[in-house]
Amino acid sequence: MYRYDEFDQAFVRQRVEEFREQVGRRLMGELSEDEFKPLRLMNGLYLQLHAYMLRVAIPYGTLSSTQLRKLAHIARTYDRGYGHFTTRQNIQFNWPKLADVPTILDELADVEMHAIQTSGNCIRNVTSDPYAGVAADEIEDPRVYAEIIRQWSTLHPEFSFLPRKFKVAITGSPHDRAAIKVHDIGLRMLRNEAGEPGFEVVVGGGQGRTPVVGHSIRAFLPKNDLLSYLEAILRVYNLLGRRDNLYKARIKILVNQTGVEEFTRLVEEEWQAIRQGWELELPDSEIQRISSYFARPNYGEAEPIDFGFVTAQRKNPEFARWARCNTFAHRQPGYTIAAISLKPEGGIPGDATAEQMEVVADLADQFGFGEIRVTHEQNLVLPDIRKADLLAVWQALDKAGLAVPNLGLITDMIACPGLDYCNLANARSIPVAQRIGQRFADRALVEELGPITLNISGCINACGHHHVANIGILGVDKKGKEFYQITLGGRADEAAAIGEIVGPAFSYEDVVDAVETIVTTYRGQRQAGEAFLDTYQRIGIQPFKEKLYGTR
Amino acid sequence: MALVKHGEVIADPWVRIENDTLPLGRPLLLTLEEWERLAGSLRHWDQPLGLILTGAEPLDQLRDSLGHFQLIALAFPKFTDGRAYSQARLLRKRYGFTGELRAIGNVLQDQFLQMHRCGFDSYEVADEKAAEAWIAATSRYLGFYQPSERGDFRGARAGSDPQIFVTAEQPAAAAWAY
Amino acid sequence: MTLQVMTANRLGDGAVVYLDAEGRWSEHLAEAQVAADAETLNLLERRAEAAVRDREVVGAYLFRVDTADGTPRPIGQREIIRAAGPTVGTDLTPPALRI
Repeated sequence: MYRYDEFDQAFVRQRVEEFREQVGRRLMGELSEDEFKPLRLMNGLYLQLHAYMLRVAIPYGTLSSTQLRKLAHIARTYDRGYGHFTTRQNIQFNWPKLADVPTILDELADVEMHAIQTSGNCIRNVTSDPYAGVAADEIEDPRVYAEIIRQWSTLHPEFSFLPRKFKVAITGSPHDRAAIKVHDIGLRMLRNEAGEPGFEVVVGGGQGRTPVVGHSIRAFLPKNDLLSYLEAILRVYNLLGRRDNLYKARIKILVNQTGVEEFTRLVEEEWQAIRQGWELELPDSEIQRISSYFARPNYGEAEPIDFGFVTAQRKNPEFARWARCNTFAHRQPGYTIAAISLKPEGGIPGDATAEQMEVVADLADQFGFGEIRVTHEQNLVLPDIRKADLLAVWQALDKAGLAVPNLGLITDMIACPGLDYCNLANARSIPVAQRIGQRFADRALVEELGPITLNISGCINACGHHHVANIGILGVDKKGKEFYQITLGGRADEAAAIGEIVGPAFSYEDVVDAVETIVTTYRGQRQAGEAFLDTYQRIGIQPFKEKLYGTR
Repeated sequence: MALVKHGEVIADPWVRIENDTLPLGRPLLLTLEEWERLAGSLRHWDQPLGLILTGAEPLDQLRDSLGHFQLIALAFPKFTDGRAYSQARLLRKRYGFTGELRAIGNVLQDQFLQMHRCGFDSYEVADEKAAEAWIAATSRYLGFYQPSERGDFRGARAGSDPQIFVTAEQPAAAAWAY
Repeated sequence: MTLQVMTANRLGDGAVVYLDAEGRWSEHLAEAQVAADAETLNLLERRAEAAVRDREVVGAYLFRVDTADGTPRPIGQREIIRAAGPTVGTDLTPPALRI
C-alpha cells in the first residue's frame, strides 16, 4: 500500500497546523460559524445531532494494521470506544470535542492518515473495489490510479469551492464492487484492442433526491490522459454547475440539464485545450512510482490442495457456512479473501469497538500481510489469507463477534446513522436494521435465501444507498411519525439500476413485517437457482404489491 | 477595505467611473458592461484599464479584448462561489494574461492560499491584518501535490518550487504551482 | 400559544444544551426555561444570539414542547432523540428504547 514519503508527511503536518490555527481562531471568536464551517468540513468535522462527528479518510478503503490500531486508540481515547465504517470506505467517530480534533489529526498524521476533504464542496475520498489487487477477476489494480487521483485532488486550488461535493469511484474489475455508476465520476478500468490499459469514464451518477445512473461519456481514455480529462470535467462543473439551489448543484443535474451529448462536447473541448496548453499528462514514470507501492506481497509457494481446510469444514458446520458465505476467490492459488461482517443480527451495521478493531489488526499481522480493507457496504476484509489458516482466523473472529456468515445476504444490510445521530435525517434507520436482523436470525434460512442487498437510508440524501439495493428502505417523516418507503429491484454493480417504489410507506411498527412479506413472496415464486433480483426481474413488482397491500 | 499585495497593504490606485464621467489621469476599473458601452471612447485612453468579472462570463469570447487590460478583478459574490478560481487559472494559462489579477468581493484569509496558487496577485479584504495572514497562508505549505507548471511531475514535490512571493515582473510563473 | 424551549450545541464539545431561566445552558431538558408568551420567547432569542456571538454555543433554535407531566417534553422526534441520546446502544447489543 502507499507509504508516505517526506513530502506527504510534511503535507499532512502542515494541514494539521493550519486547522489547529483555524480552530483557535474559532474558539477566540475571530471566525464566525459561517466562516468556520467550510473549513472544518474540509477537515471532515461535522456538527451532528448530539455532538461533533469526525470523518477520517481511508483512501480507497485500504488500511495497515498500524493504522487500524491507531483508529482503535482514537476511539478509546477521544471517543466512546467505537467507530462507524461508512458507505464511502471512511470511518466516523461520533463524539470528539472540537478542541481535541487538531490533536486527533496529529495522531492520525503519525500513522499517515488524515481527514482532509472528507466533507465539503470539494473532491472527496476516491473509493474503489475492496478486493482490489487480490480479486481473481481483476484486470488492473485500480488503487494505483485511486492514489494518483487522491494526490491530484488534495488541496487542489481550483476545485476547493465546487458547487457541491464531488465523489469519484474506480473499479479494476468488470464486476463492479465499487458502485461506480452512481458516482459523480465513475471509472472502469479496461484494456483496448492493443492491450493498453485505460478507463471508461462515467459521469453524473448519483443517489439522493434525484437518483440516476451515470452516463458513459468516453468509452476508452488512455491511462496517461487520466488527470487532464478529470481536470476538464471538474472545470466544466466548477464553471457551469448550479450554485443557486443546494439540491440542484451536483454534476448529475448539470449533465441532465445540458444533455449528455452537449456536456460531453464541453468536456472534450476543454480537454483538448488542456492538452494543448498544459503539462497535465500523467507520465509513465509517475504511474510506475505509485504502482511500486501496490506490488504483490511475496506469497510464497503455491499451496497444494489443503485437505485440512476441507476436513475442518466437514467437522464444523458453522465454520463451513462462514467459509461458504464470507470468502472470495483470490488470484493467488492457496489464498482467499476473507470478509468480516460488521452486521451481527441485532447489532449496529458498520460499527466496530476498539477491541474488535484490534482483533482484526492482529489477525492481519498474524495471518495476512498487515493489510485490511474497508468496504463501502460497511464491512471489513482480510485480503490475503491462506486457506490453511482460515479456521484459525474464523475462530479468532468468532470470539470477537466478528464471524457472522452473511456477506451479501439479507442481514448484511447497509444502514446510515439516521436520526439517532444525523442532523439531516427524517427517521431512524439503525433500529430498523436491528429488528430486521433479529427477524432473520436463522442463519440457515438467510443463506438459503441467497444474495439479497437490503439498504436503509434515514433521509432522502441516501447515504445508505437504498436506491441501488434489491430491497431499499427510505425513512420519511409523515406528520411527525417515522414511516418507511420500500423500493425493489435496485442494484449497484455494472448493471446498476435504481429501485422502484412498491407502494405507500410503512410505519416503524410495520416495516419489518413488510420486509418479511417481500421475502416470503420471493420464496414462493422463485425458480431453481434464482436469486431475489432474478425473480424480481422475471415476475415484476406486481406480485409484491399484491402481497403487501392486498389484491386490487 | 484594504488592498493586500505581496504580503503588504498598499494604496489602491484604481478608480471606478462615477456619474458616467471618465476620470482623467487615473487607472480605470470597469465592469464588462461599462467596457462594452464605452469601448469607443476609450480607444485612445492613455491610462491603464482594468476589468471586473463576476464568474459567469465566457472567457473565450473575451480573449481578444484581454490585451487592453493591466488589471482583472474577479469577484467572489460569496466566498463559497468557486468559479473565479477557474477563471483565474484560465486567464493565466490559457489566455496568457500577465497583468494584475485581483480578488474582490467576499474574500477571506482562509482562501488566500488557493487564490495565490490560481494566479491571484492582490486581494481586497475587510481587515488590514489580512496582510500578515497572507504571508502565513502562503508560506505554511512547502509544496503541493499538483504538478508544477514546468511539467515536472515532481517539481512541486521536490520542495524547491513553488516560489512563494510573486514579483511584478513575472507574476504568472511564480504564483503558478500547477 | 405553543410552548417552546431554546436548544443549541455547546461549541467546545458539541453537547446538546438547553437555555435555562438564569440564561445558562444546561444539558438537562428538565431545567430548560419554557416560553409560553411572546416576551419570554424574545428573551430566549436574545440570549441565544448573545451566546452564539460569545462563542458559547452554535446552531441555536427553538422547538416545541408540552409539559403534561410538569417537565418539558419534546414533541418532535428529532428533539426527543436529542434529549435522550441515540436510541441504539453503543455496546452493539440489541437496544432498549431509552426514552
